[in-house]
Amino acid sequence: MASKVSVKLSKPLCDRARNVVEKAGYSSLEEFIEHAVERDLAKLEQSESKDDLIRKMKGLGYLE
Amino acid sequence: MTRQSSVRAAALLVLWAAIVLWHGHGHGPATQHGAPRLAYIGPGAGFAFLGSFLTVVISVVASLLSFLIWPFRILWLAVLRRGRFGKAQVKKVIFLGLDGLDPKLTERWMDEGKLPNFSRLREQGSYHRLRTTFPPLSPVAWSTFSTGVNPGKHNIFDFLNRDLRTYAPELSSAKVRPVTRFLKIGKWKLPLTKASVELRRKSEPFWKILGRNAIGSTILRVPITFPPEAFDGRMLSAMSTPDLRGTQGSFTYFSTGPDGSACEGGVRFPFTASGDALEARLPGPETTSVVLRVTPGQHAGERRLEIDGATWALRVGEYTPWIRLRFSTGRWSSARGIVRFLLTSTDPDVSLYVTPVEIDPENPALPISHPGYYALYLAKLLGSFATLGMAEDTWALNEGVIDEDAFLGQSKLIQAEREAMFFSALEHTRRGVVACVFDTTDRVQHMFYRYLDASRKTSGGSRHAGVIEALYRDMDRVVGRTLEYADGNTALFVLSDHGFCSFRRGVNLNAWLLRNGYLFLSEGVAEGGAYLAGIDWSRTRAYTFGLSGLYLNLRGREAQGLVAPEEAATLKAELIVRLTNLLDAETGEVAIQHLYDSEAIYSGPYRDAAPDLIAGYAPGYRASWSAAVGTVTNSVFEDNTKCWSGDHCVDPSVVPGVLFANRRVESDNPGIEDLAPTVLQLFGITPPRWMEGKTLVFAAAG
Amino acid sequence: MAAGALSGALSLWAFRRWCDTDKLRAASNVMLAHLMEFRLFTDEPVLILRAQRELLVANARLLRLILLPSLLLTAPFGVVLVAADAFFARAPLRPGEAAVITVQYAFRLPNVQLQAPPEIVVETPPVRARFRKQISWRVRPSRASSGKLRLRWNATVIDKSISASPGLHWVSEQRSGSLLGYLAHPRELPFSDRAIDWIRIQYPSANVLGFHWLVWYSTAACCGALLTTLGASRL
Repeated sequence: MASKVSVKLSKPLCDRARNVVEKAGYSSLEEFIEHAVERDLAKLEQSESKDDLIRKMKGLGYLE
Repeated sequence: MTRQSSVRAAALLVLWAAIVLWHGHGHGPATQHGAPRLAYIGPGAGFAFLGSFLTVVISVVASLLSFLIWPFRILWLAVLRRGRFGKAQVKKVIFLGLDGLDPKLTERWMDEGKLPNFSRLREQGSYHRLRTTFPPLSPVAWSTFSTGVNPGKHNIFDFLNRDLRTYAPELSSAKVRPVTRFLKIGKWKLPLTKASVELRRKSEPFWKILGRNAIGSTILRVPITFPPEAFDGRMLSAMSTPDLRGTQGSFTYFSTGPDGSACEGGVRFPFTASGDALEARLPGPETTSVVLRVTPGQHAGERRLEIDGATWALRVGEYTPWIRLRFSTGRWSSARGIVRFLLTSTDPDVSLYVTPVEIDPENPALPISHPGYYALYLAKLLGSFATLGMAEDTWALNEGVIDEDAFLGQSKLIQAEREAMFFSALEHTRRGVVACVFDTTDRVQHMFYRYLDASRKTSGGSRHAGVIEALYRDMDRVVGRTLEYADGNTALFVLSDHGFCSFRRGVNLNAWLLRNGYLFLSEGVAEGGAYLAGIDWSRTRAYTFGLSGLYLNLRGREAQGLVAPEEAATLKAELIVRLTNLLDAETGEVAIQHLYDSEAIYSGPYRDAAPDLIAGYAPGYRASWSAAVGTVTNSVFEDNTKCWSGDHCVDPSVVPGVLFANRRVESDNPGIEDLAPTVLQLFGITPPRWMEGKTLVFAAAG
Repeated sequence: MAAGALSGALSLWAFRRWCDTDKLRAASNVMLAHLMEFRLFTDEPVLILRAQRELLVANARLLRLILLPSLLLTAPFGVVLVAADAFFARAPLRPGEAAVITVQYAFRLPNVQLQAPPEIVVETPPVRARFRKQISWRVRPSRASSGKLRLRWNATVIDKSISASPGLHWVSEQRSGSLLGYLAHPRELPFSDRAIDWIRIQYPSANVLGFHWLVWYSTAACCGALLTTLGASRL
């Protein structure tokens, strides 16, 4: 399991985020922030090679 | 961790080191020489005595410490629980998950008196059909079971997800990222970081909430728990745990016979003859391998297997025990795996089947349990065990590498391992949750459903006709044993995530989209390749891969998106009209009962990752093998000729699961999302508001 | 060192030969599992108690499994270790340094005399410790030598070897009249006289390269056993 680190947010931003966490359907503030970071990372990071992705799925019973 | 427990852990560690050293790391014979202060009884024995003496001393100290700390722990736990035990209705909750146990078959065999323990549970408590998820797939449904939310909030919509930039499908549940930083010394590369594994299932499972309230759980093999998350309890990962080669399970097959064609789900290699012996290399992670030699045995159906100087007897049709292998991945590093071998024939050809190289629970290359040593503990207590997500090798049977009996034999061995873990967990739980999912039920039904389907012609049907019934009877036995642990303070739930039906015909919706002008292939491409290869994205408006989803090529979301967001609703409505009641002209049957708009069935922050439409196939139909991997074929329908003949990737209304409880459940339509809030309620915890399931209401006693 | 390595290999071989290694491994695996239970089930004293009980049972099983080879190994290792202890653990007397000679007598021992070789000076008259039935002398060698001390009373004469030198060699600390004493100090044959139990020279203790010889011996033994393990099955 991944270890966690702390990152500081300004209090007003954190409060605004906290207000919408539940409404948006997240289970926690952490989950919300992680999702926001992930979404942007997906645009910025390099994708894994297609061959690697396909190799990892090999053997899944449902797929040929 | 409290200070005292750190001290205790350190003490245990020291003892551990001593014992492990003395045991030659647990592989060699269990003795070495030492401790000559006790020399007059022989030095080896001296150390053994010393070791065992130390063990006793340390255990006494540890238990004394534990008893000294106990009152303080109890106080602390009471603070954490904030008097919730007062409100708790139970001391213990048991979830016995039987993946894919079908309500129609269960009801039929209960009525015929073949499942006495299920019947007893129904009479003494209650029985309901359990509403499943869209789509009714194990990763989706069990994630909803754990979190009490719809897939829009837990992010698992299928086995597969896609990379929106490259359209490359990927596993939806976990992502293993390789080591990215190395220290280079001359020609050697030392990894500076560890390979990271990320769990893609979002939201929060009920056991974490229980843990925060000081209620411990043992979670065994519940799907989508790889990598394991930290919480107050013990967990063994399941579905989506890879093998050592990084795949979801690929077997190896060696034979002196003809090479045969390429095969799915595994690799085939010829043996090399060397005198009397046959030699081959068993591939491990990356480019590593282990040399194995097969030499003649005493009888015709026997051979001897040699690996690294150790030998095992091979007999046709008999699996070896788990054999631990070491793959050298570098000068100072190695990865350990476990395999079973099965000699499948000796005449005319010598053929040897090897299970996927699974992660060794005693030395896991990737985290498979919480705490990390829990897998080691289980292996030391009960023996080694299959760790792969989908351990029953369905592809080996599909490909004819092993036969039905060998597949069943393998499933039974795995079932026995899991049962041992489950009942050991029950033995060790006085309060808290024990949840265990057995997936033998799912795998065996997938492979043997053809024998239940009267409309299919199957060869050798008589011998295997009763396999599924025997499977249900066997689960009845497990239920009977579990009932012994369910006293008045225990809530027992026996449940399945979905039911089952036949899989006779495959539907390739990419072919239908191609034929109807929603999908285009690149110039000069007659038929697409696997994983959406050959598609002309500049003209394509919709595509499919995975088991039930249809995706729009949406501008602003997909890298080469075409459909403007404002046109999406119209396009979806159009597809729903055209595909609902899609007719299979060859059989005259309806193949798709409903097409669901994901906006209507999912809500939550991860809905963007969901397919835009979910196909509700009619019983007998499913996404074809080619469509599941995103191939664009020319024909929309095809026969399913594989052994994999039962499935549940159909309309959720067709394949509900089952829910048995040892108390009366007052609910007319319980769903799998209701169990997480229910277990919280049973322990006196108010479910968080983001959970969607409704707590099941129990009738008053009597 | 060689003897240590050899005995390591030998004991390993003996354990393999006379123990059911599979059972032994199973027993120790179970022990480890129960030890882990102390950590896994911290909050449940009942489970800790049960783990404790099961650990003791597994322990007993382990001891039973190693019983036969332990007994069988006792004889050869006894001999080897006794000899090695005499050789490495005791140094001969150093020239110029005093040492004490003690005689343990059974009932009474009148008029006893100690005669030493010319290089060794007997510095004191016999000192009696009646309660412990012991008589002691202080002796001091003037230079390196080896010879016999002669104990004489009435018509009886008993010899005891003594050596003084700056190096290490096999010294005999004690000569006794009983079989058991002989087994523990086999360099000198037992005497038949019943009036005394033993004669002992308190040699200075010695070490090998700064450590007690047992440290080296056990290191060598562990290495020997480990190499044998690796040689026998490389997994």
